[in-house]
Amino acid sequence: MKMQDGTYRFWPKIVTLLNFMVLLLLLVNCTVRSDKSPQASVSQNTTVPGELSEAGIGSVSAGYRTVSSIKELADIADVIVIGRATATDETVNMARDENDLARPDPNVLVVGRSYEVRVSRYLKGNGADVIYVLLREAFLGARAPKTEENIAQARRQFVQIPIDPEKQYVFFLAPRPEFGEAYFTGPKEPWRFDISDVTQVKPESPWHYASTVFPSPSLDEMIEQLGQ
Amino acid sequence: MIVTSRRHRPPVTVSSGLTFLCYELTTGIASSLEDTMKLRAQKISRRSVQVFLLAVILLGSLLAFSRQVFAVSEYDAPSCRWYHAPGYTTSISYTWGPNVYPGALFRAELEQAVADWNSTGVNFWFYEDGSSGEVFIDSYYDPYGQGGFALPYCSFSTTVGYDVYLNRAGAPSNSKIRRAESNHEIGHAHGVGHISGMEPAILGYNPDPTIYYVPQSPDIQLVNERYP
Repeated sequence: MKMQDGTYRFWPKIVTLLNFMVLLLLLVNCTVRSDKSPQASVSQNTTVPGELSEAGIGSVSAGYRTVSSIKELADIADVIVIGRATATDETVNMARDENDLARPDPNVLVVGRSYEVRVSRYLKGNGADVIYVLLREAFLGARAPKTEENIAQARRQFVQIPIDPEKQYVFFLAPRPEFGEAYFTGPKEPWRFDISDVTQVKPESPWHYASTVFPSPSLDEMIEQLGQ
Repeated sequence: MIVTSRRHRPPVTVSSGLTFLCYELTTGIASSLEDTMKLRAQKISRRSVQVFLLAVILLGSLLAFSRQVFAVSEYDAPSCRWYHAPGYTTSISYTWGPNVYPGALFRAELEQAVADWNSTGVNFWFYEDGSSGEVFIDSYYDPYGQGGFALPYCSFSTTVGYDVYLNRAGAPSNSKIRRAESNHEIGHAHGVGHISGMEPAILGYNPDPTIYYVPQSPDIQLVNERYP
């Protein structure tokens, strides 16, 4: 309703109401916290460690040791091969007794799956036509019960990319002689490159930044970098 | 007229300038409310009120958008989070494993890492508890393996424990890099995953761990955002 002096009678009330609503929304959203006290403390009152066995295993976070160039990777790899890999049923504990590598760690379990690799070419080093590459696929610490159910759960929670038997790879490898003469694993991430498309060699790694740090060169460029 | 005063700015804790913007907005609106009351007795231009409301709505939208844009994101959030009361400091107990006895490899760096995180001002306080800590810190030996693992124990969506392991095999000779690895895994024990993006971070992309070996701004922001 317009008043005689030209203003609207209900307009200020509407504006006030709208302002209150906007103010309320902003206060909820802003979460300006002036009440934080360093002394304020709340202790966890959840499960005591002895009851961890009743808890489920969550997704494991891995910290990777990485390289930043093909040259660096080539330097630390004992063997570089081109080949195709097929998963086997063999699994091993890759965590070892430091004083006797022939013995597995009695408390920590790092499940490694063996892949049979048919080598078509050695780019560094030499060896058999068939070698075995170990790929980690689960981790369980000393406190985690090593039941079949837990190991299966740990596998599901572990970030890893299985080696694709349909793809051909360049593998950068380091020996794990405690498992056999022809057993290897990747020395640092990324240690295998998909060469299905030789114009674009792609790192295949659980390390999130592998493809950023290693933009896809051609296979020829990669081999050239190996020789530098 | 809208009068925005900066005189009574409260202490703010959010690292970005967004909180300041929130304060300015809310203060402005509060002032406008006061003005609105006065306007009841005054003549008011309908157009000026419309402009004001439009500005508030636009700024509010911008604020909400920018909070999303500048938030730190995880590319692998853990399966569960610690129970945490907003505005309080959550205390987490930890226990040393048998392989990180005083003087052992990684012990000094792990102690520094706990102190590093405790000094960041995040809402966690890690304290040592003889043998029944919620977080179990130890090392293992896996040649050419990952630098370390952090494994949460979950009771549904709530974290009830963490295992933190550093790999002694291939441990860096540089103590700053060992400290970076320690800070990485202890960071995960705060109930967070890895950070996306290329900004240097202990829990994300780390271009040089001899430089970035303590928690960085994105690390602290991530924990603060997940556990306000």
